[in-house]
Amino acid sequence: MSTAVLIGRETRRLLRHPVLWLVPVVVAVTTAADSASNGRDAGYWYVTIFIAVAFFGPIIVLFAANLVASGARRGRAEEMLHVTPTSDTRRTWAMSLGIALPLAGVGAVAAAAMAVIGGLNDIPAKDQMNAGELVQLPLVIAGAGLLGVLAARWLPFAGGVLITFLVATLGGLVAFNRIDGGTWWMWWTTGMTFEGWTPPPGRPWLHVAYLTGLCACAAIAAVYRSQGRKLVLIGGPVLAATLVLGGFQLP
Amino acid sequence: MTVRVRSATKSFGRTTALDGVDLDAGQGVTGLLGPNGAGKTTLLRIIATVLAPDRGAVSLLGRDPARPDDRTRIRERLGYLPQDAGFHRGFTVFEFIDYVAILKQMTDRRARHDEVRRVITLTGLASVSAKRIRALSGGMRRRVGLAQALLGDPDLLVLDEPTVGLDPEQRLRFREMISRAGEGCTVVLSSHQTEDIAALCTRVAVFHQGRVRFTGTPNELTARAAGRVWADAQRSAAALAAWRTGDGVYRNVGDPPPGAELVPPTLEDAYLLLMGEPDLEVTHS
Repeated sequence: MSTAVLIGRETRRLLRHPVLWLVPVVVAVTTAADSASNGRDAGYWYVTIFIAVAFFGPIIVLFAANLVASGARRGRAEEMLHVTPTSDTRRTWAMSLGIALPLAGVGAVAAAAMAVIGGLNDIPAKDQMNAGELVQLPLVIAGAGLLGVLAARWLPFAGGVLITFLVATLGGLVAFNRIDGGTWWMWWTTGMTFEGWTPPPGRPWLHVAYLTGLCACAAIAAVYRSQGRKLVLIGGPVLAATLVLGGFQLP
Repeated sequence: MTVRVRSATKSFGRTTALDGVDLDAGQGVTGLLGPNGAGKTTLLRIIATVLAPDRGAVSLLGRDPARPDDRTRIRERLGYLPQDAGFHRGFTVFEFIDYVAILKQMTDRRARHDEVRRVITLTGLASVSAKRIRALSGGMRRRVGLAQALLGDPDLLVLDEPTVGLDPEQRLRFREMISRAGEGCTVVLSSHQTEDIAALCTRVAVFHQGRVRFTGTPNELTARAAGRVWADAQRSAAALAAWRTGDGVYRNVGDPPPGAELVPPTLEDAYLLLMGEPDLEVTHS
């Protein structure tokens, strides 16, 4: 019961974090600046939601989640909180779920909105995301939050999250350019059609499983940061499965 | 005894912070007195279950903090104010204490909020409970730290330098709060301030270089300086410490010359003597 209360409290901390408020601001500014040559039709809003949730959202969420997760360390409150009966493991689980669940909810709402817009309007089928790709949205944005928590736990110093951002981004770019399989490896968006390449049937769901694995890896690595044995025993198989799922997407 | 420490040793790299320390503390206020680096904070962190000793035995509230289950049970009945207590940025006073209350597993919302309001009132924070902690003065923040430690009426309260950085009025208020808390539970606190120890503590342990030099009551410590404090018109060469008091007379502490005008000692005099004679035998009473 207390874990549920704690999850709710962590969610509240994330949602009230000023950095997260940048998401609507950035979306509002970019949509206002966009000339929308075809007018603000259904297709425009479809893409706007996609960009907000799958591009701006994850980048900002990464930093906001990191600031929330590292709040105790930055405020030098860790020792005071450490001696409560709520263990570090339980606190980090609550932190991870409190951050990931609402973000996944936002992603799910966005995916549902895109599905509705796509279904009710005459957006060409080739420009619409299929069900497998839409399901990736909650995982991408929740994964960005979990990555922020992970960075707070493993790189507990100022600039840790920036290093995470740069390494993940550069790593994604290198992977996308080096691996000629059409899979978008970048951490902040989902796979769509690239330069005429369309994912074969079933591939988006494989990517869903892969993203789920990444989210699980991030959560496990964050929670069991100081418990090497559990980290290996629980995280090892999950990481192996995730790598296999990633491997299936290679050409 | 609520706190029983036997032969506790703790090192950080090559530095020995605690060297075979024994300590017993029961209901009331026990004070740890000593200079910086004497090992007070290390011992308090061990008693607060933050650290484990490298060697030695610790029993808290009848349980062994080395065992995870026991440690959790101890933490359910423990309140702790660290020396360098920080707070989540952006939290209001109420939100922060409420957050700690959740971590202390107070799940019922109404009961938890009642308890948060109780400790806020107890520590005189009611007028600022909706203010952000970062907007408070150092003294007020210290009160927030004490308030979270008092949550749930702990059986063991560990306070590291609770009065540091407080103005005289705040210190008196803090003394009152700690004294009240000590009526119903075991309080272990550290301080540089002999006045705080004299005013608050039923027992005192004096630390020097990681070892306990004295344990006993403040009166017993003070009595050790009887006949070793004298007033003089000038600073005495025989004194370990001497200073000019407000009335223009020098207060000398050490071995008085024959015919010296002896004056009643204070706890501070006894502490200075103890620190000035580090080879003195360890005394337990």
